[in-house]
Amino acid sequence: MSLTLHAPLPLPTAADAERLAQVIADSARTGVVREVLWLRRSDLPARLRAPRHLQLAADALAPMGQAARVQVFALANDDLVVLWRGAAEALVAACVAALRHMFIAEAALLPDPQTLLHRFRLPDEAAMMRLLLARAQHATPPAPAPPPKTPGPRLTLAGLAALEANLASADVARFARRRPVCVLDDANGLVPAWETRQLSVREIADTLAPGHDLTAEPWLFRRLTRSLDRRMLALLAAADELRDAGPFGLNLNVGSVLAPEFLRFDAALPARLRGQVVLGLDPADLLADPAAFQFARTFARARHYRLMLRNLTPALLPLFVGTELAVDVLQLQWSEAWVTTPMPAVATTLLLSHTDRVEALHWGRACGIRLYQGALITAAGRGTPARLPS
Amino acid sequence: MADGGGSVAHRVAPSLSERTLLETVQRQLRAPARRMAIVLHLSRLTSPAPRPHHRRIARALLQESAQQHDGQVFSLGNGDLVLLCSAASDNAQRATRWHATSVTPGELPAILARLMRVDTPDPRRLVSSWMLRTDAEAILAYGHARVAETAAPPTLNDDGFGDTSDAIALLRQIETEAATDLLHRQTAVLVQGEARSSIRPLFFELTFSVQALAIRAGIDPARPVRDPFLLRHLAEQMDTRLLRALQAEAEAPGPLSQMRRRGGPMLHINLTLGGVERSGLTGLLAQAGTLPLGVEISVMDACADLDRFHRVRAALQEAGALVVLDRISHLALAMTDLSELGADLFKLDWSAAVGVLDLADQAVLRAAVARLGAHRLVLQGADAEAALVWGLDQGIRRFQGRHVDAMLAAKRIMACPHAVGCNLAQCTERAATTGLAGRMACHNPPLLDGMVPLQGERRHAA
Repeated sequence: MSLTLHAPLPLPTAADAERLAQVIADSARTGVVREVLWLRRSDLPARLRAPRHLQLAADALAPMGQAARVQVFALANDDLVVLWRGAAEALVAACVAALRHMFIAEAALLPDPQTLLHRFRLPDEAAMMRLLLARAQHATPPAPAPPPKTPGPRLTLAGLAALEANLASADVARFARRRPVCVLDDANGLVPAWETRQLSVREIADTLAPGHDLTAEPWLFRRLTRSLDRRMLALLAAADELRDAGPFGLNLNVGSVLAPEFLRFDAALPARLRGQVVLGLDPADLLADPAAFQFARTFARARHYRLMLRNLTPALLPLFVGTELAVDVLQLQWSEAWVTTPMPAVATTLLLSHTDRVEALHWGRACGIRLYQGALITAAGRGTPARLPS
Repeated sequence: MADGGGSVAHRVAPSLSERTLLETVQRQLRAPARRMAIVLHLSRLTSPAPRPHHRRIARALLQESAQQHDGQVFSLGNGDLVLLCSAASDNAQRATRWHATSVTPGELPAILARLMRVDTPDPRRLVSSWMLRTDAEAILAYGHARVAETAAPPTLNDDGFGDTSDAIALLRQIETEAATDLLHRQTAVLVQGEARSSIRPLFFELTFSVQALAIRAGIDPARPVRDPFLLRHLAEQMDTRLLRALQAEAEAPGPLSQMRRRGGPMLHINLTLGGVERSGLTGLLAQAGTLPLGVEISVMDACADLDRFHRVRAALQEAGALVVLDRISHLALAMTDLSELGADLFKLDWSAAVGVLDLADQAVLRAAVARLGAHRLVLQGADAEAALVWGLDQGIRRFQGRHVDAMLAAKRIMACPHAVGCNLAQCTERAATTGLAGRMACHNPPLLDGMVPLQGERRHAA
């Protein structure tokens, strides 16, 4: 669909999404280069999503009307996608300037309107566009912003003891959740690699310790995670629990890998899942007891588990690069701080977690990262993983 | 082993396992089937190993082999584990695997040795693999020795990390005891020149004595809280008490002020990140005339929230404090590059295992020391001469530990005109005490507190 940008914007239809998907597929097949400007109006803060705000944002794209062979697609989540051929850097710059100008009075809610605009190039970034398109198609109306929450009372030692006692008799199966990890592949888009199995701490808190802030005392919270590890392992060791399971990951404390519950889980693990389970360990836990970590690492390798060091921030990663760590995957926790941090050369496979925004994907792809996890991935990466990527 | 001179009270009868093992070996020697024995000598590990997980995991691996290869596992009173099983050829063993990744008896010795590698200098000594037919003498000798054994069985209470009750009792005690009665002081020194005897006190480190707390709370002081996470939580509560004591002494000088005088060794205190942030310590340090302070933060605490550590470190350094990264084991040093953390000093834990690392591990550790800079390292836990020898060989010149305490006490006794009735242990103990009661018997507090140069000390040498 080609139209002039000064005309009223069309209402979104399923056909737009389908046509865009077709253009992406054609470009990937033929190799014809298309430039893309994606306006993520779905990222506008809730208070800036009135029709007049949406129109203001759309008006900012007007300069693109002068680009060659321009096409515009309106998606169900209010995003607008402009495709054209050839160079148009000055026009894109004019769009950015217009967007800034139009939202200049809303700096408190939208400090940097430029973050709504994303550039892509087809066919190189076809996979990422497919991902965004899938997410746009499954978009649900934005929930009203929750009222600001006042932190509840902090967990105390006595409170922890009561919570552990409650946990021992609770049916934790209802708190079990799965979050996909996907390989972002230019040819195939998002391919499920494994799913992380975990207990939802937030729901457990809401149910067993309503109103309490479980994370305010970090060491008590870590202790609680160890109790949760054991419940999770016991859950997975139950008969038939893993009968139809594909590759999966577990985030565990080092002490939990060496616990009796892990041995029972290991004994219950079906033979076809050997080599298909990723154990995620925390750096602080590793430094708390390096001898136990090394023992656990050797044991896990002997039983054919894959090992991942998780929750690495820009400050933490350099501590583990080029040392004798010997794990299979390093999980980087996305934050904007990565953008301004020089990325060290890393030989180990990287996984980017907390990929909730397109910026994270952009940065990850620029760094050559192929594995992703986060809200953006969960929406698009449904499906059962078959085998762990080698 | 037979006990030549032990008292009857310490003699322990062999358990049924020893006798059953011996009888089973003797019976199987008479049978035609080829059998083998794999002995995991956990009793040869040095403390703190074997820990409960050593035993648990090793037993699980042996048990799996036993189930697959017509075997039996014996847990002996000295802590050793023995697997007796079929000794089919490797190919035959592989054919009977439960799954592609299960372990055959032939593969077990190498896997067990790899598992225990961190805990013993020579993991090969930890596993014996005997064919019953050809090595009958060795396995029978081993069995007879175990039956005759009189050593006390290992106490391997394995109840995980324990419940929270001990920590709750300790917390109550922290809230009621006077901080100065629970503080333990230890001096770190700089070794000057080539002779190891030339030492200069560098700083006093004050630590909360969890053992003293445990005794007062009626808890086993040997292992008051098994869970390191709960200990870190308690440490935050101790911070509050310690900082309150320091603040009180800023207004009314007490024992802490006596040992913290201009010209004397610097004072180091252990704090958590939360403790520093909540206490307003940096404000206290920034006050005019305040003596500099060293703040020691455990590497575990720092890495649990590194962004917070960097904020705290910058604030402390800005306020003139020395930031010390504490409790770094040689394994952690080899696995991480801590030079990125920007601390002023790094405290490496000495253990006997450091002195007997194999050549490859020695090279890794030497490289890690070089990366950090030997001049920024303090070797703590230097409880024996071997620690000093190893440290000096690495270029480390700062030491702390019981061996250093004894060296300092000896020098003080030689230098002190009032030391006629004092012995080494008394002088060491008084130097470690911060409460007035514990120090009263010393008639030369300035010497005890490092205010007077020791014999051979070059006061201004770096």
